[in-house]
Amino acid sequence: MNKIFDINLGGLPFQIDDNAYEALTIYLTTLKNHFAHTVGYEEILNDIESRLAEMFSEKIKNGSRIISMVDVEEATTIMGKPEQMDESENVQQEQTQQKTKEAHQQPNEHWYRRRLYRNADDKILGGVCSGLGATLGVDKVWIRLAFACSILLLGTGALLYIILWIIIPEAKSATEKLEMQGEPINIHNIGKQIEEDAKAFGEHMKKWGEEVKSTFKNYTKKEKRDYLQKQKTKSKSIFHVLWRGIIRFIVIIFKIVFLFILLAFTLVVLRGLGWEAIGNYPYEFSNIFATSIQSNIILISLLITLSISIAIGIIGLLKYIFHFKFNYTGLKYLRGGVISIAFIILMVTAIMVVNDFSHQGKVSTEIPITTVDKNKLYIHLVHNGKEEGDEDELFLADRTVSLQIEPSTDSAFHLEKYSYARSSKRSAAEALAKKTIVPIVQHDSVIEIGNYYDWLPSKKWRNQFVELTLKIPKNKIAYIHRNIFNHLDVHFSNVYMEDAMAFTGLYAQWTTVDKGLACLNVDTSAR
Amino acid sequence: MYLCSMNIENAKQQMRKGILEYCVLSIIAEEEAYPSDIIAKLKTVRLIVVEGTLYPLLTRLKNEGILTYRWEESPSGPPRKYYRLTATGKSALKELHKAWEDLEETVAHIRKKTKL
Repeated sequence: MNKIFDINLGGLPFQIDDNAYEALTIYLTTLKNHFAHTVGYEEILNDIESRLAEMFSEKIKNGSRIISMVDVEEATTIMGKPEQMDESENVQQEQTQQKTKEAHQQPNEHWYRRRLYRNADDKILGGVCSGLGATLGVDKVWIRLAFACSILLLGTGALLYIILWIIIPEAKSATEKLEMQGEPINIHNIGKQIEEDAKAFGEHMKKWGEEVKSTFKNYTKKEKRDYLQKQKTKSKSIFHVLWRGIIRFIVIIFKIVFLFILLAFTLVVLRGLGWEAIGNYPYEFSNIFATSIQSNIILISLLITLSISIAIGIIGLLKYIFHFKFNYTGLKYLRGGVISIAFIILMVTAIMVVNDFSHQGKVSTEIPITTVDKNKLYIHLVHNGKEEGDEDELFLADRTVSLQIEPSTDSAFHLEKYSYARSSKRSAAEALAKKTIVPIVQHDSVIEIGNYYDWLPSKKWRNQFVELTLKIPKNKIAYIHRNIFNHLDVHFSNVYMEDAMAFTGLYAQWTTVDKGLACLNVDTSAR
Repeated sequence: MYLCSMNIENAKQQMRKGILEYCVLSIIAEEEAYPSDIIAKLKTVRLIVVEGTLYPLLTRLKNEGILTYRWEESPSGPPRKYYRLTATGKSALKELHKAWEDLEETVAHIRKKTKL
C-alpha cells in the first residue's frame, strides 16, 4: 500500500504513487539542471512537461486511474534522458572518446618502456650508436660523433664500443624493434606529461570561464553578484591551497631547526650547572652566566618551551596521520605564550651576558727575575697538564700563553705579564684579570713557563688572556728552548735580522744589538 | 603504431545529427505539425531515438525565427503547439535543399571514383 500525491503536470491534474512521484520529481529536476543555461529553457521544460502530461492522459484513458512507477518509466524512456536530448553532444560520443583514450593508453603502456637494443637495421659497424640514439631520444649522428671523437682523443671509445657491442642485444623481433623506438621514460617525457596536465587544466579553466559567461547572461544583477562571489572563491582556492602548502612546508622546517637549537642550548646550560654526563662542548657557554640563578632560570624556561613544542609537534603529527579530531588551538595559544615568555627571558639573559663582557680590564705586573746568573737566562717550557684532547678543551678561549720578545731599555732582563679580562665594570674586569694564572717557576738561571694559562674564580670565562713580555738587554743572551717556539705563541718586536726563526741547536740564542734583536745561532742552511 | 578502433555507432550518430534539423524542417514544410506528429514521422524512418531531442530543437528554431506556432486546444489532453515555417524559414529550407543536393552529388562522385 502506498501514498498518493495530487500533482499538477503541464496544467493537468493527476494522482500519482509516491515512488512514481519521487522518480518524476528527480527526472524533472535533472532536466531543469541540464537545460539551465540554454536560452529559452523554460519553454523547453514546459513543452516536455506538457508532453509527459499528454502521455499520462492517454494512460488514464486506457483505464488506470493512478500514475504508477511503470508509467513514469515508460514516459521518461520515450522522452529520453537529458544527455540524449542535445543535438550537439551525445553520451555515446563521449563514451567513444573514453574508449579510444583507453585504447591509446593500452598499447602505449607497452611502448612506454623503451629498452636498449642494438639497431641492426641502421648500422655502420654494430648498430650500437643507432640503438643508443633510439633509446636516449638523441639523433644517432651525435652519438657516432661522440664515439669518433673519443676514439681520436684517447682511443677509449673503441674499447667502450666493443664492450657495448657485446653486451647490448640486437633488436631482432618486431616487438623488440618497437620497444626500441617507444616513448622514452626520461625528463623529456615527464615534461610532456606535465605539459599535458597543464593544458588540460587550462582547458578546464577555459570551459569554466565560458560557463560563467553564459550563466551570466541569464542572471539578474543580484544573482550575478552572488555567482561572481562563488566563482572568485572557487578560483582562489586552487592557488590558495598551493601557496598554503608551500608556506606550511617552510614553517615546518623552521620549527625543526628551532627545536634543535633549543635542545643544544639546554644541554649547554645543563653542563654549566654541573651535569658532568653531558660532556664538555662548548665549555665557555656553560660558564657565561654570572650566577647559577641565571642558569637555572634559563634552563627552566628552555625545558618548558621544549617540552610544549615537542608535545604539540607530536600531537599535530598524530592528528595528521590518524585524522584525529582534536582541537588543539588552545594548546597552540599556550605554546605561543610560553615561547614568547621564553624568548623574552632569553633576550634579557643575552643582554645581561653581553653586559658582563662589556668592559675590558688590563693588568700589568712585573715578574721579578730571581735567577742567579744575571747575564744569561734560560727559558724553558713546562707542560702544565693541559694538552690537546684534554677534557676541558675550550672552544673560544685558546689558553696558550703568548710570549712577546723585545729589546730591553736597560741592562737587565725583564719579564712582564699582561693579563686581560672582561666584566661589566672596569674595576671588576681588572680584578678578574689579576686572577689569571701563568705557571712560572724560577731556579738557577732557568725560568720555566707553563704553556697554558688558567684563571679564577671557578672557571667563569670572561675572555681572559695573558701575554708575557721578555725584554733582553744588550750584551746578554737569552737561551730560549725550542719547545717554547713549538708551544707558545711567540712574537718578536724590533728584530734586526730577518728570517730568524730557524736556528741550530736546542736553544735559540737571542740578544740585542744596536739595531735591534738578533739571533746568534741562526740556521743559514735552512734558507 | 597502434590501432585506434573507430566507433561505427558514433559515425552513424554524427550523420544523423547533421541532417536532423533539415528533416524536421522538411516535415513541417509539408504541413503544420505538432511535436508528437513530427516524432512519429521521424520514427518511421528511424531517425530519432528519443522524443526529448525534438523540444530543444524546435524551441531554438522558433527563437531563431525559422518556425512559429499556434496553440490548439485538445479535448484529450493539454493544449498543443502546432509549428509551421515562417517566411524566413521557407527560404532557409530552400538553401538547405540546395546544400543537400550538393552533398549528394559530392558523395556520389567520391563513391564512384574510389569504387567503395
